[in-house]
Amino acid sequence: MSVLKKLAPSQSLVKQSLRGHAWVGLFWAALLYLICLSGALVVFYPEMERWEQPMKSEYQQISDQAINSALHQVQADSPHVLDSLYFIYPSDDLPRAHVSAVYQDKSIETESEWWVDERGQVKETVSAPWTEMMTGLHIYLHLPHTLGIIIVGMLGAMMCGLLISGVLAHPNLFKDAFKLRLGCNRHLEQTDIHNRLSVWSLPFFFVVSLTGAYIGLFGVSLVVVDWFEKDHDSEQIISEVFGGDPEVQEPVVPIDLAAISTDLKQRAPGAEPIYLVIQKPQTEGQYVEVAATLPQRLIYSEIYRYHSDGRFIDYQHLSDGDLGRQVAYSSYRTHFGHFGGLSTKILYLVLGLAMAVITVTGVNMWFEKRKLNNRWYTLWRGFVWSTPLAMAISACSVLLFALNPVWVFWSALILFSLLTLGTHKQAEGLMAQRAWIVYLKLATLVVLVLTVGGHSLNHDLGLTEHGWYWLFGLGAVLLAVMPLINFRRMWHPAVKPVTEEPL
Amino acid sequence: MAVFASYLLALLSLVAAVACWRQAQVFYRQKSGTKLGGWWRLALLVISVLLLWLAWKFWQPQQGAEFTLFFILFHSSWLAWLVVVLQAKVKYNSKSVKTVEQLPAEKSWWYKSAVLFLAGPVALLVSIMGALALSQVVIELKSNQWVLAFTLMPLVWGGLAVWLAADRQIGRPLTALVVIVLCSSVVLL
Repeated sequence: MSVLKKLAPSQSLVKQSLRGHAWVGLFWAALLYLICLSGALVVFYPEMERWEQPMKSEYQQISDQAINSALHQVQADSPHVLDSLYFIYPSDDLPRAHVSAVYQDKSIETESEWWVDERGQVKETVSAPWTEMMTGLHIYLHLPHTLGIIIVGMLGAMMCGLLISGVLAHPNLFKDAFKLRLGCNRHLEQTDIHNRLSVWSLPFFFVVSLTGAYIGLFGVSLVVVDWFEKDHDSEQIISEVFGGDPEVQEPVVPIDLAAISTDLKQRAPGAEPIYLVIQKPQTEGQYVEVAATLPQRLIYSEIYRYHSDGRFIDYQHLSDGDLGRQVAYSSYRTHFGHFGGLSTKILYLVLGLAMAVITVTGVNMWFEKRKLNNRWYTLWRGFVWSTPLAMAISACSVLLFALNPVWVFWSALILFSLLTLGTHKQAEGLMAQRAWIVYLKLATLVVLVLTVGGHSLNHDLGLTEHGWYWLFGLGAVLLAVMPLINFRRMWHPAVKPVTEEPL
Repeated sequence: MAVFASYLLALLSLVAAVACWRQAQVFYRQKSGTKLGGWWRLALLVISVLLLWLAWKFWQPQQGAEFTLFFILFHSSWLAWLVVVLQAKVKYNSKSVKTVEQLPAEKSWWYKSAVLFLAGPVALLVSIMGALALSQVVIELKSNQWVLAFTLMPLVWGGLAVWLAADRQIGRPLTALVVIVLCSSVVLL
């Protein structure tokens, strides 16, 4: 172990790293917590979308005729000139197809996504405002999109910095790898939880922070790189990295989907189409792209391009191109946990929630170490437990009362966080705060149960024929039950109650 | 069924690997410094590597190398947490802690704002320049250079931001920023 001792950072470096780690962590804690918590939950965004807008009949397969029929219907009914038309195939997590229109005039804000039934009939508009609220919170923090994604990307970069400083600030990384002291001293307890969770999940945090920062800061980086590159502009850089578009100039003919499907099955037998796009529809530049996942590959998809009559043009070489292209296109699945099926999604949920706990315990450690119990600490505790409640209230408000979920989320978050401040100077002190936090947890559970029940009744979801919806609702309720369980007492029943509430 | 069985076996191999690390740590605590303890630890670490290889062998044929790599890295986390929780020490402490309401301010508002500005937009620009220059030095192909630059940039920015927040002598990270800008300019311009 002398090698380990030699590798250990010096005391001054440890102190310095700890200082930087603490200040950066404290400064961004609230936003990091929102990003981590929402990120852990939106791993299931296709399922959330499915649950939010239940449909009586769902399906895993759809015929080429049905796809053709749906695409024709949308093209014929479109009031605006189309730039591209997407058909998204049914999948395991969202077993129903939908079509999506992108108009040439990007300022048009009409409905542009519709569900499609098994026979290719275009049905109601895709509408999942709560899922949109949650994904909007994770990706943009509900800010204007350009600014929001840059800030979220910046938080990813800050997490990379926290990761580096966290490792440097932890000289007993190996020695304390399995140490967990609960109950004895709140500072030690929070420190152990923070360190054990973060050290053992370093690979996950590294991958998720880096890919998040890469996705969020791609635009900013591109602008600066464009400025330094004399021979390339932004568009050229994108087409060099991800592959360019083909130049097509042919008379407009109806799209032969059967020929395209047959060719794809022969060309890439293991490929599973995820979406199909008609680019520049009804013009001489029209061509078809089919994006398909390849077995055992992390790349988001390979993209196969066809003429309208089914002749193969080329593929984008996302699966076998330059290493950079493959790495860049693998970042999405790696970040969102969309590989390896349901078990990976559950794993990402657990690890994502751990990231949220690390953020919370990190801040708690700072206050506890200094024995500081002021309004900011009370507000922080309130903010932490008001966030899941605000998420549940926003779901309830939009699903049962059709209110704006973004406004409801922020109003509830601010209101309950401020109400927690009311417990700061009460005569009962810490006891009043503990009781209030338990009420917040209970309220989250109650609101969620009401939402799941009300939503199921609204859509007339029978327990037997729509079992999936009930299972998903039950999963959400169980998640809200977790913070109410005292796991410490469950595993170690002999322990007496401690004076302070952990976390 | 075969997929499920191999998944389960791979997880069991990982559990065993984590148990080996735990045992190696116990030996480190008990027999620190003795020759026998050192050999035991080495043996356990070798066994844990073999178990990781076994997990790879169970996952790889069904899931492919790319998925397997991430499965091993990510599944180890929650399995290690289980071991940590199972051997956690719980104590009861009834001592009340005296708390304070305020801490003395360390630095002025101006100093903190300056650090924020340096760690924010300035460090961002410097990190993009540094990452782009480094990628041009180490890689020949343009598209790979850009991807490396986009990937390195958050790491460099995060590192610089933490350093700026950490150092009591702001001059040191500032010098590093200037050096990165100068070196990058030589490569880029």
